[in-house]
Amino acid sequence: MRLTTTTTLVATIIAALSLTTSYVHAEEFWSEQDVPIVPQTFKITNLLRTLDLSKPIIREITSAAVQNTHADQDQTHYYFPVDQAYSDNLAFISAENRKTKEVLEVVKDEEFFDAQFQYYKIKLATPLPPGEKVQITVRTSLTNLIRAFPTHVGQAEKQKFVFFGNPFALTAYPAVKQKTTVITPNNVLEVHEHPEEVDVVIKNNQVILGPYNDVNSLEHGIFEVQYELTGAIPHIRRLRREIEVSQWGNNLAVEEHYNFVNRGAELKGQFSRIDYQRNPMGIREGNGALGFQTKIPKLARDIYYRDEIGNISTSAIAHQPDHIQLMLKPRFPLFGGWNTTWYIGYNTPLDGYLRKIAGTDKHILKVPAISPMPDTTYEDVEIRVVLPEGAKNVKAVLPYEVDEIEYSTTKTYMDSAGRSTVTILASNLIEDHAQDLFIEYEFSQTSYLTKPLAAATMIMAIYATSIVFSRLDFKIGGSTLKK
Amino acid sequence: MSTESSSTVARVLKPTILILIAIVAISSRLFSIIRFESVIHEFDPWFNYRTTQHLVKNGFYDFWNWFDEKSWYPLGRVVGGTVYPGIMVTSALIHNVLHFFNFPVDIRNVCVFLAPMFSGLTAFSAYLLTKELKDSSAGLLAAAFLGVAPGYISRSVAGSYDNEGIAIFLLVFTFYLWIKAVKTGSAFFGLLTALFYFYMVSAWGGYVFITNLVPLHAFTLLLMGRFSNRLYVSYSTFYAIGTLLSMQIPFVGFQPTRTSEHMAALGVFGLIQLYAFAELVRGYIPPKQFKTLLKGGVAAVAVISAVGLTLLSFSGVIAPFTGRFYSLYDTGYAKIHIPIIASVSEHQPTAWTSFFFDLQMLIFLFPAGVYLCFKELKDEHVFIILYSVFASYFAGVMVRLMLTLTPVVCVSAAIAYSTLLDTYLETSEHVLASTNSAIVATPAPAVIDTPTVAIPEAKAAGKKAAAKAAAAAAAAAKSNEADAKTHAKSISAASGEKKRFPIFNLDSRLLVILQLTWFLFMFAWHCTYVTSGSYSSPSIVLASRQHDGSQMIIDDFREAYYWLRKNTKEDAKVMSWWDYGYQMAGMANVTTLVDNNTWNNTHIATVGKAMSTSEEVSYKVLRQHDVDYVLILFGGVIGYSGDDINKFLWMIRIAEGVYPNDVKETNFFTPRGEYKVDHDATKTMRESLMYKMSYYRFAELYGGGNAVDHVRNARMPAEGPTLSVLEEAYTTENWLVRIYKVKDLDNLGRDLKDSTAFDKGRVRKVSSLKKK
Repeated sequence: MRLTTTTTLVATIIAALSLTTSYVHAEEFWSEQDVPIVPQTFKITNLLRTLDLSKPIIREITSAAVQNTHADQDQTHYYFPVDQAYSDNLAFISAENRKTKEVLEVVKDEEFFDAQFQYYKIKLATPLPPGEKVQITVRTSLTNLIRAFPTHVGQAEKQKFVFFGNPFALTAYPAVKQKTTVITPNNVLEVHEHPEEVDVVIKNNQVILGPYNDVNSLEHGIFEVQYELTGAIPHIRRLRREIEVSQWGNNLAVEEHYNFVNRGAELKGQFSRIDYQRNPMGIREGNGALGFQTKIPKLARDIYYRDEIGNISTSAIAHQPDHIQLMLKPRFPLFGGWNTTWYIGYNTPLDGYLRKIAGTDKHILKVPAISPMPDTTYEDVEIRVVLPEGAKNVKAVLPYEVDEIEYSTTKTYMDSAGRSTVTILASNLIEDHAQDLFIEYEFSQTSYLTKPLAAATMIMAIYATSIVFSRLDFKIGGSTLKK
Repeated sequence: MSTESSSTVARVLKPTILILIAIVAISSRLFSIIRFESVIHEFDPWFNYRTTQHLVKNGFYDFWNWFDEKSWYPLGRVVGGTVYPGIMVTSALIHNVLHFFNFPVDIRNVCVFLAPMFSGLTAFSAYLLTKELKDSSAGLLAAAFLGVAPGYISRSVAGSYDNEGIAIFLLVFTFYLWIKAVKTGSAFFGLLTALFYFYMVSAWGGYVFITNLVPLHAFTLLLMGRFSNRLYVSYSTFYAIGTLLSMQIPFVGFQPTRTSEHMAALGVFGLIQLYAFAELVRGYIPPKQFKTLLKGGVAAVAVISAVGLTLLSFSGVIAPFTGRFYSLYDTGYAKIHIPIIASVSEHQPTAWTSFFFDLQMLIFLFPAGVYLCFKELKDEHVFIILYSVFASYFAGVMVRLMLTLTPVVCVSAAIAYSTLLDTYLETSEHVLASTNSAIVATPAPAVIDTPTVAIPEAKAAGKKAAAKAAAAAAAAAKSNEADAKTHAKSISAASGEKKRFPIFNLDSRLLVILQLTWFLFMFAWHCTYVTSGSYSSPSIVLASRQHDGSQMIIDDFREAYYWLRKNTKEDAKVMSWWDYGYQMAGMANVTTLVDNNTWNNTHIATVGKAMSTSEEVSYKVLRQHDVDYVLILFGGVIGYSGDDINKFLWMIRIAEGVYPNDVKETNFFTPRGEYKVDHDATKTMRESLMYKMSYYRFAELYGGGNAVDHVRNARMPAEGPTLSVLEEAYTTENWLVRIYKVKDLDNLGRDLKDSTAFDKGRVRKVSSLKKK
């Protein structure tokens, strides 16, 4: 099902003009021959890569059978290269042993710096003796890589996306055999590739690239696929999540501020309510987002859903056995390119989140970093955790790398010294980052008394002043003169 | 119960009752919060809220110098110089104080709860004022009445963040201080009056009421021959300091010396000086010479001031009365000369029913209270009489001024009600034997003190009487009243045949007391009913009941405003009728052409012209004003009657006043003089932009046939209007708000009508040729 060269060319040119930096990058290193700088101690005997394009966030699964080619050394680390051009797109990376399903530790490598590639160092569960084989699966999630093409569609039209990528799996080691499968949500519309000699097979919603034999390390080319993907492309420009711990009230107050945009193809012309109302369900929403779903704790109460001008009256709560499902409906359907903001909040008992280490003043707070929203990308995330007044030696531990962790103090209701606050700044997060973060702090029993004492002092002061004032005589020429 | 202990009880009870009244006053204003949410209501409050936000964010000096380029595009508005800043400064102050003490309260909540909080203070000032007139029990009644009277609640529910919210408190409190000043002749109270007058000036345009009522009181006292040094000191202090202070508000500026509304105060100030001087002279010269001097002096002053005033008025130094004031005199004035004032519903004359609706039983007690004031007729009672006469007149002329009437109605009614209670709960022999007039003339001591006199007698009456008394006590509901009644009964039992006035026997008294109590219950019930039903809707959210009884919220306004806020460019100019200007600026954060400030009639008329003329004419207006979007309200789908088609006649009238060549009201009426939107609609009507925007693709909603406009019960033509200079940009869920985007000029230089026709595949040339 390959299309004629002319269409291919035209589409490629248009797409290339309209977008992408990755394309330019690809062009650049297409011309050079790259030699990996990591030690060449492995050989990939077989590699299978799956690129899942059925969701806005691209999931890449690379399963490689690797063999230690070093003469006598056991190998402890396997290197996985990622194109620097994609470094801002790579949201999540994890690795496991394919057979044992053991999760392997992945760290960003800083030893072998390369302007074009960022290596990730995967620690093998057990050192691999020479000549032995192991199967490693690396999963990566890539965000913001697909572009709507055409860029504008009508209200009920289907939107199409274009994805550019490497037809070869990028490896730091030569591969004897490798194959890539691209999965799209619907039938593939068009595929173009370069160099043209690579084998492409299109099967309904799958594109199979390869298998290729004896592929060099860091081999790359370009392929492009256009496909239909209906529905909104949810993107949170900014998320501010505020968590306030009250040990007095045994309460955890959570408030989340969202700044949302639908990154799908923009609406052609204007919105027509009559067309929207006349079209049957399923067609009317087109590529608009009609609502969002998020999970909040089962015991949450005082749930609210508002924006800058007040309560948003359209939302629903569903109690599930282990959580509350929050169905948030924005004021208006969010078509491609449309924005909105909102914030939600709730209180929940602190019990499940805070643990005191017996015999010490040490407390450990365990809260999810973000509430997961499916298929949503988060551009900038700020998580603020406000601890009770009097908390000392605060330390935040996160399961993944973030941009910045700041420690400061916040003054709020009836505070004298202020509350210790942890601010965590992160970017490019996805659903997978909705893991627990841990905050350790010391909070002594006496700190419980600070607040009532402060309040009592305040009231005392008011009474004292009023006693003094009531005894003073402000009269001009008053009673003293008369006497 | 000894006298001492009962006075201690009273000392504890009074503050407790006052605090309870304040709590009731505040909580009865929270219906809208509980039912809906903590949100700013209506239209004007949105402007106040927006300016308060600006004040909190940018500080006081920036607020003073704020030039708002987002309203009245392209003219802009000098906000600092054209607002009464009282309410904004008050909220900002509260906000800043709370934040200083680390209470991070949102400014929105300060604004929402400001009016209810001040209503508690208003109730307290009503107590003080009435206490000066009668006694503290009347004061408590007045506080309770004013706390829940719907006439005042209408403008002070939570979320109704309007000037009146604090102004009524200031009005009542200033009057209290004034009465206190007149009573004591203290310069200190005169000064306090002036200070609160200043606060009032900074808060509400209605300060003119004080400016005229206080001098009128002084003048009346002069006429009554009641000039005293007390009056001289208090009025001079008040006027001198108050006027100087009021001139510090930029919006007021030199008005106190230059406009007719303020001349009475100045005149009385001069008069009172002359009078004092005459009094002084009288002390030094013989009466005969004084008489001659007086005659000459009065004549000279009268001539000089009359000539001077006329000259100054005609030369323009003193501005004549403004239109709003003329409309207070002649209710038909505004309709003819200033349609923009007449178009506001709150400027309409009051319907009779609304007096009862807003004041219920108080309206019956009110004249009785005024009558009792006549009976007493001390200086302060003269004031209340004057206040009631003028406030009644103004409340009859303008619905909005019901607000100034309510406090005096509450005060007078409290006096009347309290006198009734005093009379019917009074137990001493003296009162039993006295005549009706004596009851009125000598205010009875506080209710709580009375039983002490009766106790020994009751004991003397023996066990029988005591048992009877106990039975009576059980029957009566309220402990206080029951107490008094118990003793009353025992007295009647004891005194036996001594009774000379059968009206004072127990049964008839009980009847009256019960009836009065019943009235109180009815009053409380009515107030709650009215408050909850009529005055607690935020009006930016519409609530309706579905068939299954569940509440459905129609939130179309905010849907549209938020869409504008988030999905149009930062400096988008949105044209709409002036009613929605403040809301759009506050909620949608867009640039508006006209808003509720209505200071520039021509600009409003221009918008009216754009709405009421054909596409070609209005497109020019739209382009000239850089309009990006046009917003209208259309209630035809859900039957919301306050929509733009119903307001359209006012737009036409206002536009006609300025552009008589472009807009003619008669062209919008059918030959039979009807205002129609269906098949019978006139050509001008059907071609007007407003009509086209309202009904654009409306018929399609009904599948082509039988489209019905639910507001006007009109069967619409199946073929709806077409638009070529605008395109539909957004219509809300219930079609309540429709937003249109103004098209850019055609790329090929065609007429927009042609290009639209071309896009739709029709070639207009042919049809135009056919016509020829």
